[in-house]
Amino acid sequence: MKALEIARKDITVEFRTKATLNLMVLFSLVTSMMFSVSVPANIAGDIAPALLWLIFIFVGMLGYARAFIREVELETLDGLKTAPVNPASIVFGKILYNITLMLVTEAVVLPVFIGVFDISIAKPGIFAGVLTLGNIAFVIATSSLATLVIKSRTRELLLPVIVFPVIFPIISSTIFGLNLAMNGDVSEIAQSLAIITSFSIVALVIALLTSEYAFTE
Amino acid sequence: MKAVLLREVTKKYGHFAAIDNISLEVELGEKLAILGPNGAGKTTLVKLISGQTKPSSGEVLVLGSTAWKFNPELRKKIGYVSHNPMLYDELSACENLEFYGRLYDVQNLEEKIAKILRQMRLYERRHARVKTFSRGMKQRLSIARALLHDPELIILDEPTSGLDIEGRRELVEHLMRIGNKTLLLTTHDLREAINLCDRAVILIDGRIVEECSISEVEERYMKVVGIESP
Repeated sequence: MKALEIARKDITVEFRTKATLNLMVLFSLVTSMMFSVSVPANIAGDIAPALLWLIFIFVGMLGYARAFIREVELETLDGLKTAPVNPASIVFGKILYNITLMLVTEAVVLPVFIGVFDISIAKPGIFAGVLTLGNIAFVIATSSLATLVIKSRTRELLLPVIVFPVIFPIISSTIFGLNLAMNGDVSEIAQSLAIITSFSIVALVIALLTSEYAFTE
Repeated sequence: MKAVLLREVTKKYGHFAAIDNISLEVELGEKLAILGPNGAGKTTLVKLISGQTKPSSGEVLVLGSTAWKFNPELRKKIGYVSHNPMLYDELSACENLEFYGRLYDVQNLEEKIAKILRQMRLYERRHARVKTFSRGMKQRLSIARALLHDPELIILDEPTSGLDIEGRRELVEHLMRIGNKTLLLTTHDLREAINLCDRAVILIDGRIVEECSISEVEERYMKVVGIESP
């Protein structure tokens, strides 16, 4: 599958330079520390899920678009555009690569965040699951919109402006789900998971359908 | 079947016509030089032929298929080299070719990579990362990338741009060995065109203003562009 080849190539390049990954992990850790010392201890537990999610959104905005922008800057995108690779496979490959980045960042940042905020999570498995699902939806939405702005000269500035309104349903549903998992009352969590999953599927379908437009001048 | 057939093709960016109502035929096995000053529309023309750009109007057929519509079988028949090598600096020469070879479904990939790297005199550096290569080595590797899948049509968009005299000479020598394949070459360098091609078109302001055999190109180019050949 060509998408896997593209993802594998991107992962190899990234793990050799660690340019994006280091930036994402470092930014997450610094932000976690800053939040932990700025937020009063008595409300830390209440707002921790929102802050955690905020960190992943900021870090995602920094990192996920790089998958495309790097190809544009190095002009290697022309190599992919002229290869016998369906544009949808290029986009899907980039999504897989970004999900890998996200999982590595999450694996490093989540334990640190829990430690510095000194919060207890009633359902840690569900908490991690909701966070990962929300992040996957965010990766799909960001990657999909990144393909649409790569032709723009102001792509790095334009992306956050169009991403934030689009991902609002994921932000609210993920924070709601994280709060439920943290407090241990997961009876209503199915609704959050359904919204996040539906959003991911719709965003993925749109990304794959618009990919040909994105790569043809 | 023609290798390339353009019928009344126009490509506009906003109101600006980068290519203005061009018709062109290239026979199978023919080697065509596309000449012209900067901004003449050479790169836009090869982008149209390589399927990267959709024409605003007209038709671009390559090996019988519409160029801009995604067609994996057509893409496998085209090898594209631009002035930028389109290689990944953090991957080795071998890894770059393996990546592109898998995208093009090349059979016996390892064997073919070894063969083409030897032809391009890069075999000894096959495991070195591309970022350690000189500009000339990168361009040779880029040509290896474009030839790896044994394309029928080779498109070279100013392949020697940015190379020193020795690098240019070496690259042209490699290109002279590509055999009986159809070749489209855009260049500023008339000598390069004379060495590699058998026909030329001269492009100015997005229009073909002259079409001639390669033996006449020097005289015609000087007349049309108004400068002496280098």
